[in-house]
Amino acid sequence: MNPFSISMLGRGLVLIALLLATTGSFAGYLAGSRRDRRAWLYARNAAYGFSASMIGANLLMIYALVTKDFSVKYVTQVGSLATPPLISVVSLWSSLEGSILFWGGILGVYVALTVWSLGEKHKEFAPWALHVLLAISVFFAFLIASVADPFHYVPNPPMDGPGPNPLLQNHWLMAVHPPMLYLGYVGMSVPFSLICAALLAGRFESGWMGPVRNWMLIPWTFLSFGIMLGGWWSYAVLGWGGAWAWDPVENASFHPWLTGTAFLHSAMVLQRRGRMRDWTLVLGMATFLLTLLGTFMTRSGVFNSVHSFTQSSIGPVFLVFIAVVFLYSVLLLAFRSHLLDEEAEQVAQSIGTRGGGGGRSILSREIAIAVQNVLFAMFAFTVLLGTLFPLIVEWTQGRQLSVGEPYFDRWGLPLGLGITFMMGVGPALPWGRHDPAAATRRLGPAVVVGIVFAGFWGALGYTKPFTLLALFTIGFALWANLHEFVEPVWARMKARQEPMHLAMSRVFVRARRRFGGHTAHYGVLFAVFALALTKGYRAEKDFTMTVGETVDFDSYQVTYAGYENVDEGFRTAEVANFHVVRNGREVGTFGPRMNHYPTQMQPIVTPAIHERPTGDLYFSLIDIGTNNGGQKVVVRMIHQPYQMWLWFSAPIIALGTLISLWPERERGRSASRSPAPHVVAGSAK
Amino acid sequence: MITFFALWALGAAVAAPEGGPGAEIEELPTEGDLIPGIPPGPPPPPEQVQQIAYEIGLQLRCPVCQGLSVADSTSNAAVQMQNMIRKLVAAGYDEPQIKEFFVQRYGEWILLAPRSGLLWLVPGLGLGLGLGRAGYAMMKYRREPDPAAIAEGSRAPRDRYEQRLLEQLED
Amino acid sequence: MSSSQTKVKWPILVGGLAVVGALVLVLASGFGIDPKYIPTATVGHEAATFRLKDLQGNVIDFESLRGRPVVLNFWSTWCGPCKMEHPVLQNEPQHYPDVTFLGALYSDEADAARRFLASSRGGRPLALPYPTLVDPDGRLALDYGVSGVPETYFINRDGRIVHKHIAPIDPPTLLACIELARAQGEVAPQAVAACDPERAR
Repeated sequence: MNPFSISMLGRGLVLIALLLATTGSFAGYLAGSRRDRRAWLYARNAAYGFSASMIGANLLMIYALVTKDFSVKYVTQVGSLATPPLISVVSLWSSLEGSILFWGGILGVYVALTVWSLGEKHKEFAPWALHVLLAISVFFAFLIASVADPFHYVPNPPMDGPGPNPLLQNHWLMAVHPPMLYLGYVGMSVPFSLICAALLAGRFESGWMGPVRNWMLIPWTFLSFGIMLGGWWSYAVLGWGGAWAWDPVENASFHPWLTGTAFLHSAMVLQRRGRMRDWTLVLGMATFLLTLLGTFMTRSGVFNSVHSFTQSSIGPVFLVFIAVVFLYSVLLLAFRSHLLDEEAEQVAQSIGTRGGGGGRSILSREIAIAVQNVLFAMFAFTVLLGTLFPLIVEWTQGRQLSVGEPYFDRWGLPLGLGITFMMGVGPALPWGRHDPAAATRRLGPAVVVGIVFAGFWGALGYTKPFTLLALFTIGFALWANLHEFVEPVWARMKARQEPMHLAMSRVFVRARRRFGGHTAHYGVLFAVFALALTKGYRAEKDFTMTVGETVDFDSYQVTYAGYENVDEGFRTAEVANFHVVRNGREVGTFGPRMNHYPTQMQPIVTPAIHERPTGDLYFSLIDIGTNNGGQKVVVRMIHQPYQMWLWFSAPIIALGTLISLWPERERGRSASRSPAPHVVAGSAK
Repeated sequence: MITFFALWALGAAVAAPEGGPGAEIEELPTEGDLIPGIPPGPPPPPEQVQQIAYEIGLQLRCPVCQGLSVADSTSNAAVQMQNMIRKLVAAGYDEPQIKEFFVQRYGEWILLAPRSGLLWLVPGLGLGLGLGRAGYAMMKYRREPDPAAIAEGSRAPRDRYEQRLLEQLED
Repeated sequence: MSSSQTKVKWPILVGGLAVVGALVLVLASGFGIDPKYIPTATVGHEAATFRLKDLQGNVIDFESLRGRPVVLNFWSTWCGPCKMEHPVLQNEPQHYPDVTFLGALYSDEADAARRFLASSRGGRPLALPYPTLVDPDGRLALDYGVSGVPETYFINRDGRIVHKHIAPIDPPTLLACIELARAQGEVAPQAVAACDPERAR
């Protein structure tokens, strides 16, 4: 065996990473408990070293995949000579071992960024954070070095391999969706570590909440993106014309998103009012645990799903890890959080108060957020219950049953609408104060706008009650959020005689974080809008057509133009071409197809979609009639109203995050701030 | 056995008709009720059949897919099942009867919303408890004395409205 | 304030431990099961009657088959595993003169099946020694609770489905399951185990 083979180098890097993570985690512990500077420096360097070796191991695997080095076990599983280079790179995460390695690489990136961003600040927390983060890294390095070893040496390399899973080759979205999701999943280990650090240090004040919240915001944004891209992939590839099937693995990515969103809001209550602290910590920890659970659901083979590509021995090991992390979180919270109570009491006594304004009212933002948090937590709980229910029943009663869309819709619809409504209420209410008149002044117009908005769509024919209710909440929340920008601009223009553009930019700069949040709200509203209309007004019909036949569907005249065979090298395809005319105007030709991959018996149905802002025309082949030479096809046509708007949601959410997190120049900010002493509570970054 | 051999040999000798429109030839007229032993009720108006069948299909799980419903899936088996649902709806069977028809063949597994009451009870209870807990916290929160209010009283801002607005701008 | 004993947050500890325990147990229970397994409610019940044409256009009535054990094999031309079991189904029926064998076409076109059975592979003709039913609207598959191909149903003399075999069948399993279908009255556990190790366990 060549000592410089990729197998050897790769294993070497993984073992170095394992060693550095282990010693670094230990050094972090020493640095935290004994305030030992040398240990701290070692932990930092070990963290950087871990990152470098993990990223190196990933690059090495990519090199092996691209050069088709079949002496590496993973390459023999997913590589083939016919695979194009780009797809070779993507196949890094197409199968179990590679995806765990990829996970390790992303963890490396996050570890390095965390250490770098903490720098020399937050001395009392940083070593503890590193201790926990590197302990998590130990587990993943261990996985890659043992049960999920992708670098295993193959003594007699085969000439060729099977190539990656065809589903992964079928659409470019598969190159983006998994990395986004992984960036979301893996990144949740950072806020988890920072929260553990606060509990281990026994302190939470002096500005620690800022980093925790920012580090939640980053993976949360990637997760939002990953979920949306997953929906898009499902829509564009799976051929049933939907973005979300409440599949166990889809749900698995949704749980941490829900708790993460709840955390981002309750963290504000904690920052501003010093309330909901334990709850916020629980949410933050639960978010990380739910990403682990999600990975378990994807990879253990316990759940049946489009995404469970592999069954493997990794399940039990992962379950043990989940149990350990969960137990650790519970013990930490139960035994250490009282220290934070004592600290909070001291802070409150020394400065009198912590919040923004005075007053404790039900008509306050903190209460709105508390209600919103209950709804989010319930949403996560119902989805989790539905996902695990078949397992629970099979275990306790030995019967098989299914939980699907009807259950999730029945709970998801009211909870989702409630959340959308609270999205308008929250921003419109002030912290603390009791001012019914002001609340009416702000919410009244929003209600009117909501009614007008729903009325507009109702007049267009969208009259189902749930759709109308959803449209009302959208209009309501949209106005309530917009108003929060318009009102201060207006106030400045009046009080200081500023021109509009100046007032706008000043208000924007001054309250950037707040408007970042509102922007994210707009993104979510796009999604709710698309879902409300596609859920209620999807129309579909199956047609059996012979060549030359024309049918009417929705507002389209569709002609079956004929059948062709296409050879694209790595796959062949049977394509049925449909010629579409709308109101006498040519729209184009669309070719839904069945893709055949050499490694797969069954063809993969690939739809064709005509996308328009007001609705998509979606073609999916049911039967191409190979036996009659394509003379007769069975095709499903689906009209999905306003589907496209769903894809806008994640970019807008990401824009909101960028607005919030964009580094700020420190220039005389303290002078312009209100005199409330909440700076101590950590709202200033 | 021998009879079938004979039949087979006979059939092979006659040879299958080439290229005919397959399905029409093989189909035999159905006798009796579509669901044996259960007479259908009055059929719905024909223009509603598609929609009623679609909504029933959404609640049944496609046996050859990954968790998709019979109505959503484009697989051959699911399309055939959806056609069967349409036939049953057109004949006058109602939703419970059609669901029971499928449950008898595939068990409760085929229902995407299981009949178990727990799935309705537990989240409902959870929601009630959660909102109740939040309500209790609200009441307690409101009654607590607030040092901020006292501090606020002594500060007396110049322009209350503007100050409130600008204060609101933070986070 | 001095005793750290009182400062443990018991609700978090007790609640948290309960949730950890329950979650881990539920997830661990999943390791034994096959998530792709689809139950069939028809096994153990009266088999659905049918009156269908076979590939040759002859009408076959289920009522006329009563009194003999029946082996009903669902297959299709697009199914790979069906081709694996095909030689078994070609050769084995001759050993069971007392059993009626029937094929049933699943989600496939009759023309395709006729062409397949008329062809040969490696000089070996692919014809089956028994007729294959055409199930144009999938009603037969539905009535038996088919969830994929190949699946083989074993029906006893009384017209009751005694077993369904999923995946390609092999001669020993075929024999064991036919024994089940032949048996009258109670069946010895060993006999069940030979046909269906899953159920015996």
